[in-house]
Amino acid sequence: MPETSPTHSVESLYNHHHGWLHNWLRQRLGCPQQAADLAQDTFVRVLMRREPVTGTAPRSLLSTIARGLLVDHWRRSALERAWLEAMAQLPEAYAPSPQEQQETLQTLEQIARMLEGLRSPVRQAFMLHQLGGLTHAQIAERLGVSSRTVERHVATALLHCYQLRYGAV
Amino acid sequence: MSRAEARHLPEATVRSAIAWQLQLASPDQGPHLQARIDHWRAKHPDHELAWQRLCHLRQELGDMTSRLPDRELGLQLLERADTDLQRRRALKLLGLVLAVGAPAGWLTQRQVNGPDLHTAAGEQQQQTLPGDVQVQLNTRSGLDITRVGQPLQLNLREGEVMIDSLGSAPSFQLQLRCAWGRCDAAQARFSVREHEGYSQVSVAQGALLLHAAGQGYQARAGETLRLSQSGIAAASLALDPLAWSQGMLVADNLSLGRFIAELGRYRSGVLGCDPSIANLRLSGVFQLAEPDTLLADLPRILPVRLVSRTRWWLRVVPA
Repeated sequence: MPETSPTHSVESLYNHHHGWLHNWLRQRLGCPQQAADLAQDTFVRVLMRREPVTGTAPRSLLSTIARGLLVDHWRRSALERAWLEAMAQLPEAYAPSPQEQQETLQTLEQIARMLEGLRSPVRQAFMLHQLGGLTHAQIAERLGVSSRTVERHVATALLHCYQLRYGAV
Repeated sequence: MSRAEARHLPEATVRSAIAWQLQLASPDQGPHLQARIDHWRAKHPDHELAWQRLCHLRQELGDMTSRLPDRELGLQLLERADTDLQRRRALKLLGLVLAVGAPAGWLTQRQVNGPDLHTAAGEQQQQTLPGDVQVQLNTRSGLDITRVGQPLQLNLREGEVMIDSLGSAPSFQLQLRCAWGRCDAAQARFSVREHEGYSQVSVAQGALLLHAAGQGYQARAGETLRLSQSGIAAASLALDPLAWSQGMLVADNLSLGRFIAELGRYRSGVLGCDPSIANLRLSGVFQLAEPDTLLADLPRILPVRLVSRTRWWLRVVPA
């Protein structure tokens, strides 16, 4: 290990970089409270890492972790927004209970995280395949592509999920 | 985590396992598929491990998706949310949030609040903005006026808008931001619509300067372009992009699936189309004022019928 690679305690990281990170997050989120929460979460992630933080640029590690949390946050709020819009169109009698809503949102979040990074046609083909009830030919018709393409999309998505679950092959 | 769990398999092996499993689900399997699969699995321990992992993974995915109460709705929500997420990332990449010169919290704050102008399903709205700019919002649309002055800055948050600045002074500039880029105009009439994954711009009169993904393009009257993550490209059209402003839907060899999706924008509730008839074609001029009447008339022109489960859930299926 080169001599110029210091090890940082979480405490010293916090003291030196918390203000900077909070500011960094606030610029992206706009809301000081949310930024404070995510800054806190970022340091919790650092604490949970098994290996010590080394290197001369600890801020790049912090911002990498924070960026991941930021995307999680955005994904959740995007899903919430889409969900609320859909619910707003339901007459009250058909609206699911708050608990059902919460569960559905969590499920959607899990699925969205799993499929993140896939192109929209791939994701759609895979979801239609996954939800069942449609043959590849029917999915192909619905998406306006060939059956062969649907099959390729489904395979791509499965490989993607495999890599997330078991690490890159 | 056991050693088997942690073991990395060659990508080719995983791909083969996926291909075998997909073949198993396919209607034209070829002879002795099960025997050939058994043979493949037995040939190497990696093959068997890949097979098992995939079964496990698909089980997990199946459990996940089966927890969604309404699958079609789940699919729609995922697509919408992903577009939103990509858009936020794109905005950040373009540095638009900060380039406005407003306090950093501003855009986010405004997205929490409602847009300045908005319409519900089936509604249209017209408004004259400073600088003699006429704005017409289509159904389910939201527009923010982000800056009054020179240039006038507007932000299309969702839906579709027609901007007419033909009556403005020749030096008057306006900028319209949309999900995937920006349009700069002086004395022009144009329409912008948000789609999943791209923004579509159609120029009726005058010229626009378009920006998307680092590209620029001068669009002229009669042109329709798509702005997306990958830049600016010409759009092919089965649907007149400007007719909505006259309250019409003008279709030219449009698929029924798209026709139904299009009508769905103008009414509340979930409107679906059975995939087996989604490729039926139709052409003509339709009045948008009463989408339910149009739907009710469909069985007269195509071999379809309507099924409704609840008041808000309507589906077009084969007759």
